[in-house]
Amino acid sequence: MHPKGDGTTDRPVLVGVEDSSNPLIVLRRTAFPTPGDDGPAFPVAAKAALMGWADEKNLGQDPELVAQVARRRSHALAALEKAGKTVRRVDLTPEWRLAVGLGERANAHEVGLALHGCYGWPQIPGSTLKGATAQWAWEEQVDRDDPESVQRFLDVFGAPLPDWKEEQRRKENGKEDQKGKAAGQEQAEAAERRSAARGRVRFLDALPSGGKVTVTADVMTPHVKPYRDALMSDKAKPEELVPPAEHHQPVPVSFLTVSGGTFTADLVADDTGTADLACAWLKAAVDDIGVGAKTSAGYGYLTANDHRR
Amino acid sequence: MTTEYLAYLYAESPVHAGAPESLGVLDDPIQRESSTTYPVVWGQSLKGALRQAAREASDSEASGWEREDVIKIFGSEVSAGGDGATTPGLLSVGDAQLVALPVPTLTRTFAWATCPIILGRLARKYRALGRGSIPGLPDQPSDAAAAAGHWDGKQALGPLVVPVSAEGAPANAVRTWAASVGGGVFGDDPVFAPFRKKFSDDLLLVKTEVMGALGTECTEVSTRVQLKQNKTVENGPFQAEYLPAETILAASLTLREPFEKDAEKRRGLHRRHQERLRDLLDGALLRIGGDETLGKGLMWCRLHQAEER
Repeated sequence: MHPKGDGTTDRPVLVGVEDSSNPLIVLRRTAFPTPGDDGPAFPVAAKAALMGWADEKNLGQDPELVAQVARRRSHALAALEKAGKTVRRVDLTPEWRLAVGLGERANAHEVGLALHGCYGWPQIPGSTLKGATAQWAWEEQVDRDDPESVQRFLDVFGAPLPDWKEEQRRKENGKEDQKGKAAGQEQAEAAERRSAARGRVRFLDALPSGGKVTVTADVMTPHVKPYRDALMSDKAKPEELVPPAEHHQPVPVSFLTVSGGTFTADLVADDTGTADLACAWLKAAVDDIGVGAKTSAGYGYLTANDHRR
Repeated sequence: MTTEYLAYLYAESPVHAGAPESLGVLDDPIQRESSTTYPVVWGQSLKGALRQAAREASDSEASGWEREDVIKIFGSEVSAGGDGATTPGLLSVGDAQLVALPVPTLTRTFAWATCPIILGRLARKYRALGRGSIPGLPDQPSDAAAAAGHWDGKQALGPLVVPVSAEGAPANAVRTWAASVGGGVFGDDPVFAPFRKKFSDDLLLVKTEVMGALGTECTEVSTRVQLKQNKTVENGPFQAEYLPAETILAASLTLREPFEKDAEKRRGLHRRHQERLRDLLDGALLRIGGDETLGKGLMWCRLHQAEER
């Protein structure tokens, strides 16, 4: 597999990939370095070829396999319902573009996107959906002075493990002022500290459903790169900072987004109450605060609808 | 009299049966065999998951499971103080060993990889089950062998490029084993039919060295971060490893007869336990391993019972 100009256009293309090639290889296991004076360089053409393939072939989604996997997922949820769980399914459609997993740059060309661990298709990880929903609910729905309201939140999401650093600090502080403290008071404080608890709702990874999702190569063009690089670097001394100026070359950076199609998010809960609550919160959260990166630039907002069976 | 079982486990979602220590860059690796480094789910982890499934079944009247059955089959629960007398369970649960690992490919999205050591272990499980006809074990292929002609030639398997041959003795052995394992894992359910077909076309027998590399390189690594209110990173990133969806494992189970003097009663109880296990496990969707609230650990189970002799 190597990039080359195909003669008719200037656009470099990948040779040896197919419609059903797995992005876990194409995006994550390939590099086209050229030796340079300061170590290997990664040519712009190679990344352009990768992005071109991803865009054109929608990251290798095979429509037949997408449908088969979706059918098996429905079957799995039916089995969970039969075993006494409550299932809620929500179709998520990007309002514009979606960029989840930009930071997961597990490849030489630094293309980041959340990919399914076997098929390599774009997905929205369950952890992303759970995190965004929890954030929105905590901000918008929970009255922190009302224990019942907090408990409703904890029923859905669980409570995090106690912070061990905090525990350590308490212990150390405790040694100093232990003399003045009655044993009863100590116990009351311990009881107030929330213990870890498991959430009662499972947020499954959302996969493409109802056909493949559309993958679009996108680009951003940061200006004054040397200035920002220096700002980000720990080593730069104030006097070495490069002042921002318009003579710096703007450098386009391409990345992948999902711009169309539908993912189905599946929630599996222990009871109907938490299922309905989690479902309503998820629908509101993905529309209101969005998921993934660049939400302040309009990426990541989703339209949520009940999944039609 | 004991009854032997073979349980096939087939991953619907990624599975994290966690190892006790972190490994290299992985904060949260999966369990592995120390000798071969192949992924595994330890018997104690699997037994816990099965007991939990039985416990949940005993909460519902329709299941036919009584609390008494749970204690008889899985042993008594450990009491909080650790003082009360405990009784051992009648079921012993072996490690769930790797049968076939999905690996990303440049054609047909993914293939399943297996090797002669893995098939040898499966053959021993067949023997314990008292199977009359066990497919012959293949020799170490020169690199890799496939059942179907479309794999003939050089193939990218995850990080490796491996020459695959679809002719000769190893290729014939792959065909026989694919048919035998495929029937056992997927059954006759139409939802699984396309995957059973794919398994018979896309099972690859690779040499042991290749299997070792695939077993460590082709697991799913998921990076998670916890964000602060202003969306900067609060905790993390931390990296957790998963067995990818589509992984196939197999475990041997042994059910002993209960301690009962009266032969009639003993046989009756044993038959009841056999039925309970079959109802609970055969064709069921189990939850195994960690990160359950992120939808991980869903595994289809098919239970095969030894012929009564």
